[in-house]
Amino acid sequence: MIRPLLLLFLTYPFVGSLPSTEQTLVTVTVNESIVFVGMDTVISIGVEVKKGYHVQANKVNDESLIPTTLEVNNVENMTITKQEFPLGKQFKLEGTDSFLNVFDGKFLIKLFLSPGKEMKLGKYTLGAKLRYQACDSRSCLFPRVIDFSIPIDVRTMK
Amino acid sequence: MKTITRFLVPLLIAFPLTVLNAQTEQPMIGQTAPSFTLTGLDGKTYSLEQFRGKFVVIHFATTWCPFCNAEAPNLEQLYKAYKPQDVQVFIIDVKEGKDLVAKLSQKFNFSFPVLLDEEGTVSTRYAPEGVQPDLARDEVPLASNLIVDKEGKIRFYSLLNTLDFDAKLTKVKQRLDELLTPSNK
Repeated sequence: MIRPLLLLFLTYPFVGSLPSTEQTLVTVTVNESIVFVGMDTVISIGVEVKKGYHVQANKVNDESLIPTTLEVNNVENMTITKQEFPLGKQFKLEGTDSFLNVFDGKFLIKLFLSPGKEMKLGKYTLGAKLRYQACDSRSCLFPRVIDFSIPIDVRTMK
Repeated sequence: MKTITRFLVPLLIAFPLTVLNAQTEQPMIGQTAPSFTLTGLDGKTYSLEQFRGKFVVIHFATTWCPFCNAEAPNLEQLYKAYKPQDVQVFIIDVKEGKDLVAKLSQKFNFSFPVLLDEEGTVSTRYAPEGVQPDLARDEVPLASNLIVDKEGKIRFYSLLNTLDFDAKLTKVKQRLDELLTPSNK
């Protein structure tokens, strides 16, 4: 009897703090990465789109569509050299000859960083924004932005 | 066993029928269409009331909505085909600025009014109660099509369904044809 009650007690605060539907449509996961001064590093940003939904890919076929974009605030003495998105999937617009280039499920965005030799060692947090526009079979939603942080630990290679 | 069968069989028959009904049933049918007064891209003010006596087709859209854009050329064709029968078409663009909407309107060369619902208040009023309760109410009508009759009642309301997407507006035209037959006029 005590065990189920204890489980309920332990679970309750987490259930109560679950993010709203709005926030769980797309989730971003990024772990702290160790980067070495003077060396190029690739950071993987995990994105998960809620089942049944898709978001427009970073490259869209029609300029009026809203592509998925990643904006990262840089820090002094570090260069963001490249962002790499996966290839999108083709989503047919029924009743037309058109296809949409979309992302769904889980995918990774790769961020290429190049910390300069002048960069001070230590932990940094890069502020980032992921902008996307999602649709499912019954709705197309207004574009949303997820604010998140990319933690990095700058070290020297010894 | 017989008792179980007696209860289960009707339940099994009723379940798919309920699902089918939920998919095909249109919301707000027979209700008075929520009134609105909005400014068009042409700078003129349009209210639904001023079109009493005409059938009005309303499409809720945004410039970034791929399904709205796929329908756009067909909506223009529909307007041209049904205009002689006193049918008015409107696009109500939701929560976007005039310049952006004007750019897309030029691309599709719309000859009917494109109205700006910049705050999303009209879209909110057209969100059927209980439909997609987890969404913001002004998002629910996006990419939907309605027909409002001469008395201002909603006679057709199709919400977005990408699995059975009707880019060519076949169902809207079919319903318009029914409504325009002399016995319905």
